[in-house]
Amino acid sequence: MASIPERIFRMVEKPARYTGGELNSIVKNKEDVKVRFAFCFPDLYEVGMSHLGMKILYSLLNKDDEVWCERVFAPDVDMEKQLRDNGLPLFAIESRDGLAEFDMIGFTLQYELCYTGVLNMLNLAGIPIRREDRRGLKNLVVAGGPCACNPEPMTDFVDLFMPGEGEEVLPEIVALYKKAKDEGWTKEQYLAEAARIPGVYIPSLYEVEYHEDGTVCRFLPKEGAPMPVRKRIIKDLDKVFFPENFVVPFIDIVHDRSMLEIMRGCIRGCRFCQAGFIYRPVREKHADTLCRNAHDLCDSTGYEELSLTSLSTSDYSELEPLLDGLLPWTEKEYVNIAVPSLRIDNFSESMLEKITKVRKSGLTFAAEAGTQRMRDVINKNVTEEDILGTCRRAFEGGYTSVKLYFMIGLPTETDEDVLGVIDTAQKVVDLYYSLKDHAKGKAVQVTCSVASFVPKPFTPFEFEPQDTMEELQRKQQLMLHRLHSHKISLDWHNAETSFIEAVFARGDRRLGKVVEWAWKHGCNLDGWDEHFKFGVWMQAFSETGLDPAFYANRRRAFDEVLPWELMDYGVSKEFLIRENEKARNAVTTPNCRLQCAGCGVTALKGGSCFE
Amino acid sequence: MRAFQRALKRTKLRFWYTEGFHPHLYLNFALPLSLGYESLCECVDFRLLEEIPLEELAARIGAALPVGFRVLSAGLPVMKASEIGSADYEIAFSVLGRGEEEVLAAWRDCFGRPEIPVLKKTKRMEQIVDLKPQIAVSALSCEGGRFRFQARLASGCRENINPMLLFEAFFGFSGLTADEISVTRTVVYHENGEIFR
Repeated sequence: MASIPERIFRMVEKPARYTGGELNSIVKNKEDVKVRFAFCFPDLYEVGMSHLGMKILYSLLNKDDEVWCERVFAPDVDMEKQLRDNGLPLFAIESRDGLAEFDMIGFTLQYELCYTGVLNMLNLAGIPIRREDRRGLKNLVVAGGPCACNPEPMTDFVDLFMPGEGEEVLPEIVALYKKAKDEGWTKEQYLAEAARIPGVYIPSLYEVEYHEDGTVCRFLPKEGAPMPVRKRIIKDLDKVFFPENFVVPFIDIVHDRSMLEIMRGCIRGCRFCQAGFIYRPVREKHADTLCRNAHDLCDSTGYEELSLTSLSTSDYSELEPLLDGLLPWTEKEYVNIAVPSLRIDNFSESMLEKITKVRKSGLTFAAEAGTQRMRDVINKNVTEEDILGTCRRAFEGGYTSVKLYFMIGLPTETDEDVLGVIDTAQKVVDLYYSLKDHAKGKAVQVTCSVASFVPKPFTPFEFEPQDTMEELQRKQQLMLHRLHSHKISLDWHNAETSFIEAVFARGDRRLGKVVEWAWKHGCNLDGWDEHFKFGVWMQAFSETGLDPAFYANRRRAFDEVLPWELMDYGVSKEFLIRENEKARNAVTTPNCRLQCAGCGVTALKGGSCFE
Repeated sequence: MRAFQRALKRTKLRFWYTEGFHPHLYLNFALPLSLGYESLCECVDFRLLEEIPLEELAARIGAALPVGFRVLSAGLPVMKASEIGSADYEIAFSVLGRGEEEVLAAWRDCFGRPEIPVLKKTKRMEQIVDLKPQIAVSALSCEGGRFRFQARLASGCRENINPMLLFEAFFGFSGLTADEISVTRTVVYHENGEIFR
C-alpha cells in the first residue's frame, strides 16, 4: 500500500468510499502486470459503484493476468480538501497508488454535468488536464459511455474515445497498449495505430472548420482517420462476458443489489429518448443464460435483491419464462426481484404478483406527457386508458402509492399539455377513491416527478430548441397553480441544470474552454444541486465568448452539419428527419417489433432486428 | 451489519428471517462498534434453521467474510446483550511537538482529578456527565513517541462511554492535541465482571 496515511480516512465522512477491501475487489501484484488501468467514475462512490457497465468492464479487464484494472471515484469535498491540504494525489482504491502511476486512465461519461469532474480528478492526481500537455504514452486518457456519442466538448482533454459498447473494443485498445509499451512507441504512434481499430475516435486526428455563424462547416480527418467513426456493438449478447461476481460495498450505495442486464436497445423509439436510439439495435439475452447469471451473482455477493435491467423490461420477450425460472430459488433464498422500467401499457396482474412475492418495492411508471396529443408527438404510444388501467391493477393489488414520470418543455407543447400533467395525476387520485376495495383507511399518494426536456443527439428532436429557463420555470409555476390536492406531490428538476446539460449535450469542440474555465473557477460535481454553481457557468460562457443559447435554445436546420456527425451510431439522419416531421404532425410510429421503421441500424447488425 | 448479512447469506446455510413485510436475515450485534474503531471481540446473534457443528459453522462464515474479518468462535448464547457492563479499550495516539514526560504528566493530571465532567451528546439530548466513575481501570504508557492508554469503560445499554470522550476531556484540560488516534476494543464484560459470551 502506498503513501495514503490511515489518519486521512478518519478525517472524512463515509471512509468506506475510499478504503477498499470490499468483497470481490481485485488486488494484484503491480510488478506482475504489464498494464495498469484506472477505471475512473467522475462522480461519488455511491453513484459509480451502482453502475453496471463499470462492474462488467472491471471484471473483464482483470481476467487478463497482465492487466490490473482498479477503481477510482470522484472524492467528496471533504476528501478533496484532505488530499489537497496534505499534498496527496487522488488514488485508486485497490492499491492506493496515485493516478499518475497508471498507464491508462479510463473515464466513463454518463452525464454531461460530470465533465468538470473529469478535469478535477486528473488535476487532483497531478496529471495535466489538456491532452497536448501529456506528452508521453503513460497516463493515456480514454473515455466511453453514452456521452461519447457527442464527445466534442471533451476533446481538449481526452486522447481516445470509444463510442458504443465497450466489451470488445476496450480489451483491444489495452492489448495495443501492451504492444506499444513493449516496443517503446510514442503516444502519437499509439494513437495513429489505435485509430485503425473500429469504434475508436482519436480527436487529435481531426480538424473542425466552422461557418461564420458558428455552425460546423466540415470535419477534416488526418492521416487516414475514419470519417465517420462507427460505434461498436456486441452482436450476440448470450456470448458476451458477464461477471460472476460484483464488488460488494460496505456502505449503502444507490443501486445496492445484483443487476442483470436482460437486453440492450429498446423497440419503442420514443422521440425524446437518447438511449432508445444510441443503444440500437435491440438484442435480448436468453432466459436460461440470465437465470444462470443471476444465481451465480446472488451466490457470490449475498445480495437479497435482484434487479432486471434494460430500457424497457416489460418488452423483453421472455420475461414470463425468466420470472418462472427465477422464482423457485429466489423465493426460497429470500431474494426479491425488482423490475424497473416497466411500461404502463403491458403491466399484467400476474407480473405484479410475481414481483411482489418476497418484498414489495415501489411502482414507477413513465407517462411522460399529460395529454394524448403530446404523447403522440413524442411517440410514447401510451393512452390515458393504459395509465388508469395500470394504476387500477396496482391499487387492487394493495398499492397505495404510485410514482409517475413526466416531462415539460417538449416540442410543440402548449399550456394545455403542461396542465394535463396535473389533470392526469388527479384522475389517478380520483380512480383510487372510486375503487370499492382500495386499502381501507389509507390515503393514496401520487408522486409526479417532472423533468425538463433536454434535446439530445441522435434523436428525432436533435434539431429542436430547448425551452428557455424562464419558459420552463413559468410552466413549473403553471402546474403548481393547478395543483389542489394533498394526495399529489410534485417535484421537478432545476431548469438551470437542464440548461447546462442541453448546452453540452449538443455542444462542439469550442466548449472545451468553457468546461476548463468553469472548473478552474470552482465548478465540480455539478450533478449535485448543492455543488452546482450556475453563476460561474454563465460567467464561463461570457469569459470565453460563447453564447449558451446558441447551443441550447437554437433550432437547427435539417441540412446543418451537427458536431456529432463525426459519429455513426447506425441511425441515419434521414430517419431522424422523417421522425421529426411525423412528430410535428403528432403521427406515431409503431414499435420495431410490429413494423421496421427503417432507422438504418441493421447495417451494424448485418440482417434485420427481428425474424 | 450489511457485510455480515451478506456473508451469512453466502454460506448458503438456512437462517431465520424476520417475518414482516420486508423479511431480512435477523442479526443482532451485542455492542455495536463505532465507525473507525477496531475490535478483537465482537459478538453477533442470529438464528439457524438447521443443525451444524459449531466449528464448521465458524469455518463457513469465516470463509464467506471479506478480508480483515475473522471468526473467533461460534457458540450458543450464554448471556444477554442487555447485561453488558463494561469493555476494555486500547487507545494509541501521538502528540506532536511535546515531550513524553509533559504528555504523561498532563494525562495524569487530567485523569487523576476527583471529577472529570464532559459534555455527552446523543441524538436526543446533551448532558454533562462525570467520566470518573465510568472508568474502572486505566494505565498509560509510552513507547517510541507513541502513547498507549488502556481503560475499562462503562458499556452497554444502560451507560455507554465512547472512548473519544476521554480525548475530549484530555484536550479540554491540557490544551494539547493528539494525532493519529486509533481505538481498539479488546474485551467486553458482563455486569458481573465475567467475559461476555
